[in-house]
Amino acid sequence: MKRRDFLKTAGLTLAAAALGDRIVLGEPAPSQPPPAPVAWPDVVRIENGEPAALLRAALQKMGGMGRFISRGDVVVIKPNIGWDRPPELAANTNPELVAELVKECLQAGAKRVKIFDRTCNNPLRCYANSGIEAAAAAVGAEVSHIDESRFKEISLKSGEVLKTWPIYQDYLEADKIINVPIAKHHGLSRLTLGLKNLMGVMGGSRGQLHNNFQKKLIDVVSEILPTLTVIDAYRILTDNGPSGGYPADVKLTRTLVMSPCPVAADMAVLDLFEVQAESLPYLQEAIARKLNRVDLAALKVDKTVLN
Amino acid sequence: MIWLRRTVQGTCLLGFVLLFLRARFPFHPDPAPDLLLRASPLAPLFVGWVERAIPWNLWPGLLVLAMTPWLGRFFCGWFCPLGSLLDLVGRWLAPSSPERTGSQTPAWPRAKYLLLWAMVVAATGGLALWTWFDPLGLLNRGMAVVLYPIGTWLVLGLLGLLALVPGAEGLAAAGRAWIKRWIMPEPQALPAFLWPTLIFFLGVLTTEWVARRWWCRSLCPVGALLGLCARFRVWPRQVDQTCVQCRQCARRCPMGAIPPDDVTATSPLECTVCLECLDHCPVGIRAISFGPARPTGHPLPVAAGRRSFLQAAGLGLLAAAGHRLAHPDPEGRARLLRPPGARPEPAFLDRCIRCLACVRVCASNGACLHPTGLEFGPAALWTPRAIMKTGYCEYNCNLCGEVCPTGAIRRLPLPEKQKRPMGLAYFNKNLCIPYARFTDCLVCEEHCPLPAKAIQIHEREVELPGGGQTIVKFPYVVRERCIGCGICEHKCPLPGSPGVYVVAENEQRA
Repeated sequence: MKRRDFLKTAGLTLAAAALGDRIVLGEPAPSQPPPAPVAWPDVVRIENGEPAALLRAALQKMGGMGRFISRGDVVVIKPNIGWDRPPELAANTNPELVAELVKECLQAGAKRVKIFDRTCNNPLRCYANSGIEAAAAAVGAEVSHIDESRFKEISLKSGEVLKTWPIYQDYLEADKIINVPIAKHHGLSRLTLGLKNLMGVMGGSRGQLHNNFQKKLIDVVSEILPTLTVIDAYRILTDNGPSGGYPADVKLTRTLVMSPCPVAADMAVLDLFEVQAESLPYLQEAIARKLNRVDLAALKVDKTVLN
Repeated sequence: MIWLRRTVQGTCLLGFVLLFLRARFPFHPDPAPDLLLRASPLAPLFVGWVERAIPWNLWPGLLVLAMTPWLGRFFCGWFCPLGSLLDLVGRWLAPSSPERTGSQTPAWPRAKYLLLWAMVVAATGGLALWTWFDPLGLLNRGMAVVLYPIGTWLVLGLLGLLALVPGAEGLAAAGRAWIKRWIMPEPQALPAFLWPTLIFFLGVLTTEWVARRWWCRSLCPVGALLGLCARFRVWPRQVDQTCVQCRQCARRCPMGAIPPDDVTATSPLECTVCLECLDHCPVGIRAISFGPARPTGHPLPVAAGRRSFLQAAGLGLLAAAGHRLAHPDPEGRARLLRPPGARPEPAFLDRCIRCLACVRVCASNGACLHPTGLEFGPAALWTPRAIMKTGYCEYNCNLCGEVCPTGAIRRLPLPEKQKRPMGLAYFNKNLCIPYARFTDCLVCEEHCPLPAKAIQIHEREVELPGGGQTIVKFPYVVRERCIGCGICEHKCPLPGSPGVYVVAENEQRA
């Protein structure tokens, strides 16, 4: 081998080793999953259990967390931590459920599990009084407050009203996202479920999204859809949402819904509120713009009641 | 003995700072964050005087008053954290220079008595002038409004620069995490009226440049009050026969309490028992001691004559009368929102010591409280007011009442505070989006923290200006439920003037 060739080869190899992972253009193509031996359900709905048991049962039906999380993944779990309310008032995601999700992710080989939410009340209070900070940190999650300097303006390719919006950097950089909202009443949008919960990673003046809400919400969430949606309906808030505060508005429904499709997941809890999909404009907008990942007309829902 | 005094001073200053940092969410009531603030002997005097009752909750200050006839102005020399800070500033300006001490430099020791007297007269007339100068309130105010925000802003800025240095990102991140954990948990909030407060605070600190403890000798009203209490102190400084008249003690006394022509004499009004004279008494002589002795008269003139006192009283009266001539500005008054639990305005102004502990604790909660400037006249200067554009009153927070040292803001149990109106919200229908543009918004309704929301929705069909109809969700306020917390005003997405705002109507004081 000539010296020139040696230097070329060695230089290229070193450059690739040092910089390779930084100069890959775009997302690497997802490796094809092995052909599924069984057809997994589109939506799993488990009833009549404690939060952790509901999750474990749902994952079993869904084929385990390993289907969604790969070894070495950086996972973001996005609960609702928006309000300075205790778990009993059903304004935030159930802390036991969040903790169980963290455990499952780590068991599936996740390298890091990050948890954050851009809160409506003071973040110290929300993180502490929701119980989520303590429960999730105890099982190994990295729970952090939103740092307002870490939002990144992204372009909304399919945006009809909005063309750009700032999104939290850690969310954008994550390998996998698990959206874990609580199912609640909401004055403007009637119900807040998975799609609306993604507002917690949006920066800027979120109040600006409230007029022409369904268009703007779908404009943004189209770009940031999660890997998996887990809807906490252990306790649901039936009125005076999304902040709640009135124990009489809380209903113990002991239910959990899981789906890789963010639209199907939202649709699978509507009956708890006796609401039709037609009365949720943002859900209609999501369907019209084909955000669903499964065929909503031929939905395979696996319903299980624990005993 | 000086090392002992410096240790006590350092401990007190450090304790003051630690209590300041502890006053935040999550709140730990033991030890009470306002414990040292209540040690100012001025507060019991003035609050007791204007309310004609002994304020027993200010027992630390009463204790200082009670001990002073025995020990003299020990408070100034050993305890007062502002005095200790001034000592530090002095050492930094000129390390142990005798030229900057008592008898070498000009001071107006009489001025502080006249000032105190003018303050008593002014307070009687409803102007709490004394609170501007109370050393503990003054220091706490400086920490809350000046040192804390600017200090953390500087440190975070430096850490931001450090993060640009290759290889130091981890160190910078660790520093930021440490600051967030222990020093400044919340995003940086800059209080209103920062610059004038900074100038006043730095002005007090720079008096040390004139001479050591110049502030304490010339202006401090606590110094004056304690000086009067110490006039017949029973633990005076004593000089025995072995004294060689070297006059080192007179030269070194930071308070100028020892007359150079008679070093055996001491002014009990000025001596702070700092023990520097003891230390500078030549080795082998050690003629100076402090101990019990029969009360003696003062060897130095107490203060000024009757004419000066009448003049000071006149000035106090003029100030008390003058501040009532401020333009009442009813529109502005309606936007002067006091924290929940604040006493009725006159009693609130009498009690509030302008320490701004409430503003500091609010910064880690809703961040609505700010110091009032001069916009409502001198009487309201440095009192807390809520500005809902920068923050709002957190529904589950009652910490301003918890940290108020004098009870100007009452300590309300949380369920009571959650029902106590501090104002009332109004919609400005010319601006509010559903009224002005016939499109939904409801950010205010979403955030309203009342279990049965005080902002309700009225859904109705409206004729559009360009023809056609649409259904719009209009928000409105239920007066009976609204507590004026201001989260609606704070979260209103309109830039500039909000579509919903809180006024001081319906507020429940007492």
